[in-house]
Amino acid sequence: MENILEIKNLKKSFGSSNFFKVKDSKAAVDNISFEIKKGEIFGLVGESGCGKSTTGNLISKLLSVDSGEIIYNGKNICGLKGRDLKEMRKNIQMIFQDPYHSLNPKKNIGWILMEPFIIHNLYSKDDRRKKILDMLEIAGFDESFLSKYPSELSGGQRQRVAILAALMCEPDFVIADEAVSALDVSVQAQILNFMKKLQKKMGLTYLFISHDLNVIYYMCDRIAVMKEGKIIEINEAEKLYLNPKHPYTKSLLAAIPGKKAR
Amino acid sequence: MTIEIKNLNVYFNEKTKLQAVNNLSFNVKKGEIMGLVGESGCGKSLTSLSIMRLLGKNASLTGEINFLGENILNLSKKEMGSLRGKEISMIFQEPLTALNPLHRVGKQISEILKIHTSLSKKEIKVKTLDLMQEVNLKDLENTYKKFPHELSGGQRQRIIIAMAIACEPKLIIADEPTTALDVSTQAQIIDLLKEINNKKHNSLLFISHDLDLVGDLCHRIAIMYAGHIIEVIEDLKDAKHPYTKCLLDAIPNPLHKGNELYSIPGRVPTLAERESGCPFAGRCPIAKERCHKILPELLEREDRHLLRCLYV
Repeated sequence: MENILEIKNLKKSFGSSNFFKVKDSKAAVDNISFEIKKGEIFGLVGESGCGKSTTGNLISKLLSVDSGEIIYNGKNICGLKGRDLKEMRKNIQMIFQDPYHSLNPKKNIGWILMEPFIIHNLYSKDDRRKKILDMLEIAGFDESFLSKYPSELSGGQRQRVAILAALMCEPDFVIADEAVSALDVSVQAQILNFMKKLQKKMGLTYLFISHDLNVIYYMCDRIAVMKEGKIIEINEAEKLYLNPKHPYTKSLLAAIPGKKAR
Repeated sequence: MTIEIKNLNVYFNEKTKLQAVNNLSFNVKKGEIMGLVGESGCGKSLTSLSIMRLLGKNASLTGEINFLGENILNLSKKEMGSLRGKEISMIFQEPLTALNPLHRVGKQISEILKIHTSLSKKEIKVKTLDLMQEVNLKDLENTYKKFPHELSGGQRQRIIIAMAIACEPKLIIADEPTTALDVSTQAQIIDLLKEINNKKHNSLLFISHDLDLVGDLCHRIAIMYAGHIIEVIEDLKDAKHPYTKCLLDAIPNPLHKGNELYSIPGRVPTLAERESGCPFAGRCPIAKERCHKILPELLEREDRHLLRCLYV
């Protein structure tokens, strides 16, 4: 299978520097390389502060790269600007952790789902409406939903709206940054099933970022483990879970509660 | 028996009398680790805040909370103040907000000793360092002088635990103490809580939404749904109530990778939507007509296994 995304020697440092102080920077992402194949769910797991979210933000160009290459569909997207960047952002979408913050509280669901079309100037008015209704049906919502506001929805419904909004422009590649961490288990299960269903239906590729190894293992085909900005182990999900090589991966797996109950 | 809660009800809003906690009864024995699990909004944190009497003025409580034989709902503000931190202490979820950002952490631990004991300044300092040692903090003298923002999440939670055990309370309430932490730090904190419980034989009421975690740590587990306790068990393997089983099935299980995850249809009813029958009836896979009308009693089925269901 061909690679949709290749990351080569990616680096990003953050540091404080001001008039009085010389820059002392710390590498949040330190020379990482991996590739993601078309149609797979790639998991990125690690403790907080290990650089997994920074990696996601670098790929979606919410942050600029210090050095290294991000090759998306055979093209380096690091230096993109203007119209090309906008075109790329249509194809690479993000789902964020907290649906309470990622949806505009002053706009109704219809507007939230319409916004991507307006930004990218896609389709005619009738087509837009039809597309939105199609998407709503996939999520199991009816038309009356369009006039509701985010505050009227439950956490799970909000996250589904956030996912739909990300998928409106039919992207190829979706970065889910802790997309289920803020949800209860029963809602989490709904959202995970929903994301898998959409992936099959629309042929998506996911970069699934999470700190929860159970969730990552359940969702992903391949998993990369990050620690202090470096990737320390990449393997297929089964192999990594059943036969971890790196001592850090072993300790992470050992720390998961609930081994006793099963 | 360290604490016994009898028919606790929590209402909000004078006019509409929205009921958040319904007829809650359970107890925690001496030296026992009791777990209280449920999804967000089921009333588990309200229960802990009721025990500490920390609820706002818009909440009204009925029922009894007997702590060492005395109903603490009848205590005056002053009496309650001398109980809090001394006999009952609490560990909160987010250690950064639970600590005062403007004071050094050592001072914050000693403050509890200053209020509740008659030790001299020197003795307090020694005792504080002992406590910090007890929660496995390293480099004590230095850590004593640090501010909360200089510590890691795990270290902060250790400081909070040191504060909680400072006066050797009979009951510690831990309200989602590890939710903000990573798995490996979480494992360390859980081990620490176990160790303290072993050494001091205090009772621990552990509140969490994480069934796996509670299953590993607790001697007994009460499962809450929409303000009711629906099941009390010793081992999650024996779970019988349909809600508990659904919850367990919804956790991603490594053994079933590839299959669709089980998800409970519908959603948790809001306070205003709750009806008279069994709270779970609307989403239950085995519910019959009777479930929507009658609220089953919480009955002891087998040895120490309480269950609230008509058909199991």
